[in-house]
Amino acid sequence: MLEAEQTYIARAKEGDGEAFGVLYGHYAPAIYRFIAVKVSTRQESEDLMHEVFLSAWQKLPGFKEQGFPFGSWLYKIARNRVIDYYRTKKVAASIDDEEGGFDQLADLGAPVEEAIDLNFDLEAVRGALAQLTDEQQEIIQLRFVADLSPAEIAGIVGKREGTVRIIQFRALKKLQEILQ
Amino acid sequence: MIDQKLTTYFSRYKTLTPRADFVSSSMAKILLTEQQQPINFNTFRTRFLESITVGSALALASLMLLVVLGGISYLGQQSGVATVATISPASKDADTVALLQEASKLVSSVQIKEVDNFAESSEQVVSALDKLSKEP
Repeated sequence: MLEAEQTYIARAKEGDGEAFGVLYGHYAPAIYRFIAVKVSTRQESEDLMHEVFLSAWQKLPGFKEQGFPFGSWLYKIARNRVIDYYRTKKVAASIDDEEGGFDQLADLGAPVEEAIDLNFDLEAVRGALAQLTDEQQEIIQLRFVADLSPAEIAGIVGKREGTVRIIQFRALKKLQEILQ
Repeated sequence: MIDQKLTTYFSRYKTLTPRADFVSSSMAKILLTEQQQPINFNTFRTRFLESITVGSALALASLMLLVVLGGISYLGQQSGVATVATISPASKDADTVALLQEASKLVSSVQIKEVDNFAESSEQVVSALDKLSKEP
């Protein structure tokens, strides 16, 4: 959470663009990563990230925390936006087919052998993740990429915290079985 | 080893960031748009009044006019002053027409009876005068 976040949120709700800019700068990388895991291409990830923050700016006057932090609210908007994206696009994103997709993950500065090994491992994990259910993938990504707590994830996906923990456990167990 | 692969994978994703120039231009475009104000009673009232178009107002006025005219017609019937002139064309029905015809016949027969009575009483007056003239 951003320091003095409540102050920035209160000011942004009143239309303070500078305050919203601080919030945007703080949360943009996390939201971008959340989207990039699902969408894969840089251009589409950035476009969707823009739409998430546009929606957040417009709806901010009506935002009330009430136990649901601002960051979780942003993730919820991002989640819904990605669902709409796939609903309209109906095309499975392929890292290999899209420009700048897989390159986002590979370390281009590393020696060739290391890069090859890294790409191989990343491809293996990506393939394993694809075999999980949508629900399991989402919770794994929110937990290990966005570093959110089970309680925060529960608020975003609309489930109880205990259920989130169970889904996470089963997803990790399945990943281990696949990668063995 | 497996955990290491997962850790490496997730740590790689954590290094992803959007382009700085994209963030700047995105921010600028967003701030050009207006925020949506939450709906409260005043907002609802304003939006409701604004949504009433001229067409809606005319439609409402026409409906009220029909109701008023219908009401006047009904009240007129109830007071017994119904004539062909006051009955709305829209309310013509067989019963009403039959009632009017019956009423007309009744009026005519009453008028004829009055004439008969008058004639009878005239004859009586004449015969009484004759009688008087013949008396010594």
